[in-house]
Amino acid sequence: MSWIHERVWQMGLGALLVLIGALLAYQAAARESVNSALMWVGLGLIFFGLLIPLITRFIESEQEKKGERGEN
Amino acid sequence: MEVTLINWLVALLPLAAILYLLVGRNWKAATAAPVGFFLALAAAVLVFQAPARLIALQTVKGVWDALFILYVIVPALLLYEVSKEAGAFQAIRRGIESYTPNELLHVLAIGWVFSSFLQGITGFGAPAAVTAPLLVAFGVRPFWAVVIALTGHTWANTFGTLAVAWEGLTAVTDMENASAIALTTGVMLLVANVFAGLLIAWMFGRGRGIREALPAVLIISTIHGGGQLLLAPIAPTLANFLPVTVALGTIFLLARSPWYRKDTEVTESEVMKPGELDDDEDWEARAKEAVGHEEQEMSLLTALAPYLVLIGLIVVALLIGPVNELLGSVRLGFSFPELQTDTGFITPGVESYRSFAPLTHPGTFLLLSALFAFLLFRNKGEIRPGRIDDILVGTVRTSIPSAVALFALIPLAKVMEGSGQTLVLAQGIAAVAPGLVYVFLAPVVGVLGSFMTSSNLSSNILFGPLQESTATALNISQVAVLAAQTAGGAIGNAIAPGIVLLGSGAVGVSDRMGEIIRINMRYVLVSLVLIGILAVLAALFSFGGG
Repeated sequence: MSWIHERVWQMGLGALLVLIGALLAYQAAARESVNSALMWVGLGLIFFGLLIPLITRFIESEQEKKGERGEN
Repeated sequence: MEVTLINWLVALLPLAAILYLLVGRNWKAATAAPVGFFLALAAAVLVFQAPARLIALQTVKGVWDALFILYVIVPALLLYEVSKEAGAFQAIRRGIESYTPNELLHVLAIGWVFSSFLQGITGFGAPAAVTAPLLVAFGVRPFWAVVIALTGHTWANTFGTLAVAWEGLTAVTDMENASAIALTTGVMLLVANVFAGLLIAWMFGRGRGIREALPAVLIISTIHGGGQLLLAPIAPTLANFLPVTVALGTIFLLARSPWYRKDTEVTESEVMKPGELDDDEDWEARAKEAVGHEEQEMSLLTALAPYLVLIGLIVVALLIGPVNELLGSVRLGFSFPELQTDTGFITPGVESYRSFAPLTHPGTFLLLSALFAFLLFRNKGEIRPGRIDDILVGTVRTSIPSAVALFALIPLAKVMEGSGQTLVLAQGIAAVAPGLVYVFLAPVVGVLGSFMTSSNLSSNILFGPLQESTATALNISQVAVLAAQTAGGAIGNAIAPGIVLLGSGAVGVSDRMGEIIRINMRYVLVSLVLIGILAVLAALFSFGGG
């Protein structure tokens, strides 16, 4: 499972969460009586999936800064 | 909703943020696009009073549209990876060299015709990443190899990769007359195409280069630019792919013609190295990486076979009426209800939103061609056993950043559209820009989108709705404005940082990115003026019937 430490595969996981979230959100919100709880679960997955690139970028830049401080 | 400066600026914020992050802070699209999405979301909820259900369903529409497009990108990449692994691109290079010693024709063949062919089958930066090293292999200086590769292929963006950028534009707009828009786009891109050929000839040998190249440029432009113009209104998917394939074949005929059978008359060319290739080992390794290497020598016919299969599949499935009808009858689409914001902005419901026909989708043809390529090359010993896993993993890995960017960009466009933000932007612009001035500047918006995202497709998705709404608000020709949007988005790739980085990185001159962009600006600016003039003419004379 070492591949999961690579940023690109983390983003891939994010893409997968977006897909699952979209499916759930559609099931919940497209019908006449909206299933609010399911809709929000779907939206939550989409939002988290799209946050992953930002989170990993933040972590990467923090690690780079720590590395530079360590060298200095 | 009334347009005020505040809500106009709020609507602009997601796009401005993406632009700032991409250009000002050098973020990748996969990271910048989600920021734009979240800003659009916040604006939709807090200012434009969009309910959660609208946000959810517009986002779902965006994800569905993104899948539609990814199903082209991933198989196209797979075909490229398989061909690269087998060394097919090296075989194509050898094939061309064996026909003529004329270096000017080599440069045009690779930098303009072959790069356009690659754009026809797979965009994604492959034209720049593959063509630049190939040009260096022919003796072009690395800096100029990147400039030429970028100049030569961008005219082919809109209808390339089986018209995926065009499909993106149709997905996010309600085209009143798609054929007229395609035709007008074809005219604009023909002009850009001719200009690209002449400019490359000028780079090679100034006036003498142009004189010598003129027969080739006129013949090839007629075939690939003119062919695209004719096919775009009736068969957008084939509009670029077929003509660029024919043009590639024509190069071999031209090579045997009296004009190009012998050496070039240009004795000193700024773009050619005077002697040996650069001896920078890193650069050589990178160049080899982009075009692959052959296990054993491959014939030109074998190298081109997968693309001939692709042509065959497309022709049979799309051009033969009864076959097209039968295959197209298998469809999948989702219904969406009518949606409304609390300010009264309505998005109509739809019975079957952007239905997907798998048996006539370009992605299926590309997938089948990639499978054929793999079986063919493995059978001929061109692909080592066990490499398929690496090829598949490599393809998926390369696709992921694009997938994330698309999953953010298209939902962003749909949320902005569904909450009324795009309309507010358009109405604000319409309030201050006279109609024809906006028409002339419409391609600039396309270039801006392409510059921001390194993608004609993403530019169309981001700005297509805005351009459409502005055209409506100003009561000007939608045909002219949308054609200008996608044409501008196509040529904008010549200066898009992501694409420039791909090409320059492949030949070891990424530290000269700024210079490359500055040089290519002349191609983009002249093309912008020409396209702007054509757009104004189209608006004035309702060219194309729109």
